[in-house]
Amino acid sequence: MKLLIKLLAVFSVVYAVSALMSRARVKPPFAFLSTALISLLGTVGDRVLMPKMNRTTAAATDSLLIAASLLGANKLSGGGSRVPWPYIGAVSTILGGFEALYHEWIYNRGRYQDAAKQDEEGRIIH
Amino acid sequence: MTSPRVTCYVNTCTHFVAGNLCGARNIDIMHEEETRMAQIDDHTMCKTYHEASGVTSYLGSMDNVNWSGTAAEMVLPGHHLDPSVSCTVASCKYWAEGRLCVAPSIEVTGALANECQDTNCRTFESRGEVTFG
Ligand code: SF4
Ligand code: SF4
Repeated sequence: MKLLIKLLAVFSVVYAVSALMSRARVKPPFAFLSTALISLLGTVGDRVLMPKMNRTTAAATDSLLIAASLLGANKLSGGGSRVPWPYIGAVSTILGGFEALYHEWIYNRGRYQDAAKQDEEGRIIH
Repeated sequence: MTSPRVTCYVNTCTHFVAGNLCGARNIDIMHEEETRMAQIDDHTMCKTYHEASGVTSYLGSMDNVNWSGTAAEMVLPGHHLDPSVSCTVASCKYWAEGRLCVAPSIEVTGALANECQDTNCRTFESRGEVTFG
């Protein structure tokens, strides 16, 4: 479910920004490839790396990964789409912001802080 | 013999996967002190804990990664990722000959741990008859 929401968000942003930006034009192969790359890399990052990073570093790393994925998808999809730098910048920033919120949804940092406190108290009681 | 399900709360370990899972291929549960048999769960630890502190820490723990399980968990979340468990805590009632753990599931605790001694097998239950060595 959470993964599906991520896929839909990425796909819509990839299309919506190109619709709003006259210099950009996105074709289906690029949209599908970039959605797949961003979501796959993002999911691995979210599950394996993000819990060990602070909030800002995690969102910034995601933005960089998104920009790299867009460039990669543009190459792999044969270059039929027009993805200028402002487009890459806008999509990476918007999706970076989305990721910052998404991280809070999938990983509750406070719970681990509380658990650590409880462990510590448990140790004192023992 | 199947290994127990592993739920882990040690969010600072390179093997930790959000969702309280462990992405290691195998974990070693041991007595915290070599010369003292564990009597309570705080006396146990996950020796496989590897502190996540930059890229090198991930490279250092790559030889013990459950690659296929982790990949499956990424695309089909929820299938549960369980490492094999090798345990030397013979004072635990779930322990069996051959470094086995016969508990159906175990919980490894130690959120915000900095070293393996900060982690514990919360499922430990004393056999009762073992005395300090
Ligand atoms: S502390 Fe042990 S059980 Fe937890 S993620 Fe690390 S290796 Fe796995
Ligand atoms: S429950 Fe007992 S036997 Fe199983 S891993 Fe924990 S300490 Fe070892």
